[in-house]
Amino acid sequence: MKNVFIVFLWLCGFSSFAQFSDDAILLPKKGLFLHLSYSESRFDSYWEKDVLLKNNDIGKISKQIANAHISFGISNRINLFASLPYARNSSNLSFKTKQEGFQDLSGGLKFSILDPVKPFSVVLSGTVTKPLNSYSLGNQILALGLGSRTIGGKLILRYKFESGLYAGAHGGYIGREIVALENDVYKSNNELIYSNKVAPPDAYDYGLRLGYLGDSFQIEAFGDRATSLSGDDIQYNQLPFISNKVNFTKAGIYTKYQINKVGFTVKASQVLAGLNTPKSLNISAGVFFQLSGRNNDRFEY
Amino acid sequence: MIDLNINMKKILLITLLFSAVSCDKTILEPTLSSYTPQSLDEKAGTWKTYLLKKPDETGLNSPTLISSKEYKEESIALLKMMDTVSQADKDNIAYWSAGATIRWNEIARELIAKYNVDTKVNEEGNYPIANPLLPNEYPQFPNSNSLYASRVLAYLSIAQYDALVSTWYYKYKFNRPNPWVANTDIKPLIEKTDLPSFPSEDAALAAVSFNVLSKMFPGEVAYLTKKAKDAVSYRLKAGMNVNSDLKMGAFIGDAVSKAMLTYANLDGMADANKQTVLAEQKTASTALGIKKQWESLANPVRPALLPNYGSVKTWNFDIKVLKSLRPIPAVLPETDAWKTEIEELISIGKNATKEQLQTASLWDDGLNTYAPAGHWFRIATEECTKSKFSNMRIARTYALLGGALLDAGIACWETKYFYHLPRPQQYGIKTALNVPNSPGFTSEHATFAGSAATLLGGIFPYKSGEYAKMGRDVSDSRLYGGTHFKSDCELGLTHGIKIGSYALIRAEKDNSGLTIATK
Repeated sequence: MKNVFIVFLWLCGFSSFAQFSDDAILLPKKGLFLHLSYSESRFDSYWEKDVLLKNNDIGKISKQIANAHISFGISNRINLFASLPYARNSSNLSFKTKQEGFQDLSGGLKFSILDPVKPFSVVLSGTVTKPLNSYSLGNQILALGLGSRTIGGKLILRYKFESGLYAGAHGGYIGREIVALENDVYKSNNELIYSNKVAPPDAYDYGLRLGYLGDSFQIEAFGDRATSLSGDDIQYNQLPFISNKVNFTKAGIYTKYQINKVGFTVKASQVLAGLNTPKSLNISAGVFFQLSGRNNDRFEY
Repeated sequence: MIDLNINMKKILLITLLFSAVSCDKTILEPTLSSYTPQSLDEKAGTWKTYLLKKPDETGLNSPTLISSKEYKEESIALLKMMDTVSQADKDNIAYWSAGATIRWNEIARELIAKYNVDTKVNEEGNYPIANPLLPNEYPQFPNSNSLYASRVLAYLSIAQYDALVSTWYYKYKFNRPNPWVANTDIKPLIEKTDLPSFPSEDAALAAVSFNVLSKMFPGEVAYLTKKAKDAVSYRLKAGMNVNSDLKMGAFIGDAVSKAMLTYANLDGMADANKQTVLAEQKTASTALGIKKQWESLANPVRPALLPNYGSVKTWNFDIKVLKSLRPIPAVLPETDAWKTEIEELISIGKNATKEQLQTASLWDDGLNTYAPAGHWFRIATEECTKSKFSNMRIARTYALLGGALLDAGIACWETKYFYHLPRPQQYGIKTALNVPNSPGFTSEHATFAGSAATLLGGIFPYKSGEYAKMGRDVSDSRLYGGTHFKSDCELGLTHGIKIGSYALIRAEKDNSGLTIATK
């Protein structure tokens, strides 16, 4: 299953739970599925507006996320899912406090418009997220997230040949709610805003994927692109902020191996181009379990 | 069929959730609106000026009489001007009529935040120095750090105060009837006042603010020109001043700015960034028995922030007093007492509460903000408008606060570089805040806060307890944030309180009769 959440924050846009984004696979009725994963992303440079630079004052940033993801088949065509990531963000500079804690809880449902066993899949999904604690937002380089409740929707298309080869595309939109800061003034576009409220921009995203899905093995190459609909740019020698317009293009590889009711996933992705976003490399690994479902059903996850 | 129904419902649900997203994301800011001042401060022409020896030093000639041909022409021109008021003019009137002293202060705070940015290291591994002659080229000039911010706000406010005292002096000396009295066809768009309109206080403020801020932010001349134009034209469009009111107000403003900028040129700021003083300072520090000196934590090492700023001219006392007020460190590095303070910081790092971290963030006022000085001006502004202060009285409050903050910055810097004591981060203490590029003893935030809270407590005695609490909060915030040892904060705060009391002495003697509290 999946999390529709690819356009999540620029800092965890590459996080573990994006790894199931945009697939067209559904669990069968009463299927229950648990995926546990660990991911790490690293960067030492980010795009200040569109200029890629290193900022020695922030050091090398490492973001680790442990994620639990669960999905359930209400019917063969409707699945529910939820995931809960725990994150630890740190800098290699010895005097920088690391940020650690639960990130944003997400949940949603996925609906297959066409019969899921047909070669051509058309899937709609919706996701809502909610920050579980009021983590610090001031330093967006290390912050756990944007602190915003979000709601997103996505359309996923896939065509699978009998050989197991498939091609897919998806497009989606994510809306983000206004966030309350600790301070009652902040700078945006070189102007002071005398308010503790800041609006993270809404965004849309789309992507393409090509892969092979066999009985026990899946491999996929993907490319994703996310674009904010509004927002400001990071100004000269400033750090990222919640109000920034964040765009990125990334590419990666995903693979999965499954034996009976247990499987493993590995995923790697690299941000290739961007606006107001870190150039990060993300690697994640996970293990999943089929917890219920009819015996002979293979979980096409 | 039934199954399909459920699916349709799900689709509907998704669609509904989806459309809920497109809600309004407008961020509302508090708006200021005009009010009738509690007093016109008719006697303000006799208040003590700072730069001018006498309020009439500006040398203004008598205005034309309202019965004169010239005045009548001006009056008719004003009526014509009022006929062309557009919506944009009305917005401009609403903006400036909230109080020009406040608006110019807001503009200054905005520019401070805009330029409060560290310089990036270049390819050669150096931090280039901004060139005041090429302010718009990277690195931009100025670097509006906490010291620069306090100096901008002090000089802006002091110049505004002197300009207004002189304006008030002439207003009541000449007592020329106001435009709507001279010509009853003139119906002002904002509330009429008994304050004589010749010479115009708004024009004086616009001239003085434009001149001082253009000098401090040379890359903003075009922006400031527009602001100054708007600040003056609103008086015409609103039917509050004839042209000669404005012309003579600007004349006073220009004269006072000249005096202010002459002072600013000679205040020692030109030598404030002299990095060569560091070696001598460090030797002196070692001689005091200090085992470890402060070092920049930036990579590569960033030049110390204005290491010679301690020799900039103070406002309310002389260098002898400055040195006599300098705090003596309570603990020296690597002594037993110091170990207790380190342990305290380690414990705070582990156990800080959410409220403590919020306090640290609330008072951080670091890069990209209006700096501690801007924060205190914001706090003062809030009380000035609540108390319905006239422009004149706001200017007095601002000038006193500006002096108190300017002195706090200078005295704190003199202390910092006298001892050169390390930051906790040199001993592995972690912080979520940006570590300012200056020695740890004392905390500039605490010093600014002590001084500002003391001064404001004298101006608004019923709030003195609240301001004192804010001062302690600021002091604590630096401990919670981990950028200072406890004694850096506490001694900074007491130092600031002493500095603020010198500003109060000035307030008591300025002939306004408004401040009698003795601290």
